[in-house]
Amino acid sequence: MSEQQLNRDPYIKSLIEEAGAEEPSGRFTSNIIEAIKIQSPPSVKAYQPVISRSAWLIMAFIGIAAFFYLLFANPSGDQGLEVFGYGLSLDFSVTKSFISKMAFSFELTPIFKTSIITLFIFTFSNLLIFELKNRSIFK
Amino acid sequence: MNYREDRFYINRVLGGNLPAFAILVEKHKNLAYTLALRLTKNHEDAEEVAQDSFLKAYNSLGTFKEESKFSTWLYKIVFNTAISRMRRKQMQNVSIDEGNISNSIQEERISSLDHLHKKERKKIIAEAISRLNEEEGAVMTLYYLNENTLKEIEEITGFSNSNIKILLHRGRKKLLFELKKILKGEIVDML
Repeated sequence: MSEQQLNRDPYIKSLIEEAGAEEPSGRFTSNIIEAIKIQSPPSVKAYQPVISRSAWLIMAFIGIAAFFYLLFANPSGDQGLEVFGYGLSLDFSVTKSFISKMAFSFELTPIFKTSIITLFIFTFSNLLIFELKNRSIFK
Repeated sequence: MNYREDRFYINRVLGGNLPAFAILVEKHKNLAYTLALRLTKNHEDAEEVAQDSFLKAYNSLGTFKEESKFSTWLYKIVFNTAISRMRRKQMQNVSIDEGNISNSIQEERISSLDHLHKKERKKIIAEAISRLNEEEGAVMTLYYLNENTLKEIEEITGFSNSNIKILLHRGRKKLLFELKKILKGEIVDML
């Protein structure tokens, strides 16, 4: 018996709807509110995420800022990368010097670095979009 | 009264606005109370169950994460509260016997019902609904009155999909049977 078949009984539905919903006593709502007021201490606590919204926003901002810095701040680097044939140059000299300062002995290829940065940017830009949607900016 | 979406009031309640919870109660009290009544079969118990459920909902509102509708979440609390109360009162648990259920559904209009006044009709239908057992009454109310889907009823009651279908099937047959019985009695009384 599918849900569609079950829906094919408008007569039963009309009977149940005609009987309608029952109504509680007139003091129903005020009794609940009074009971809540005498509860001590107030026990309603909003759900708190481990990482706050503002922390996510700051991280997203840092991610996007890092992307634009790498993209435009120093385009004359010697490890540039063409993206879709537009000659977009990514300069990893900052990353390279950071890694050398950290005394890492391994070398990351430009394509690997580009992938990591792109993943980072997509992740945080999506987080930013979700955050803005939740604040009804796009609604 | 035109109500806004539940999330609007929930956010205000979580921000400490108690009157917003009163609006949520007003919005959902009739169906919560009706569900409680179908299960407890007693107005006093139903009122207590519904009030307890709203208090539980208030105290747990911070944990509600919109994985389901607020009403589904609330009715699940009502259902569980009513079941706990019934168990405390040692009410017998009705098992679902699939063997007694006929596969063919022959819905029929009860024509004598059409000739009655609206108020009288409502009274007779309500009486017939009250004669359904607890599970049938609850499932019929959720499905036909509140228009919950089978999936939502599964979530609220914890019953399996097939059990819900059986309860709906049996509830419909029993409702028509009880209506006929009541109407027959009315006619006998008139004679």
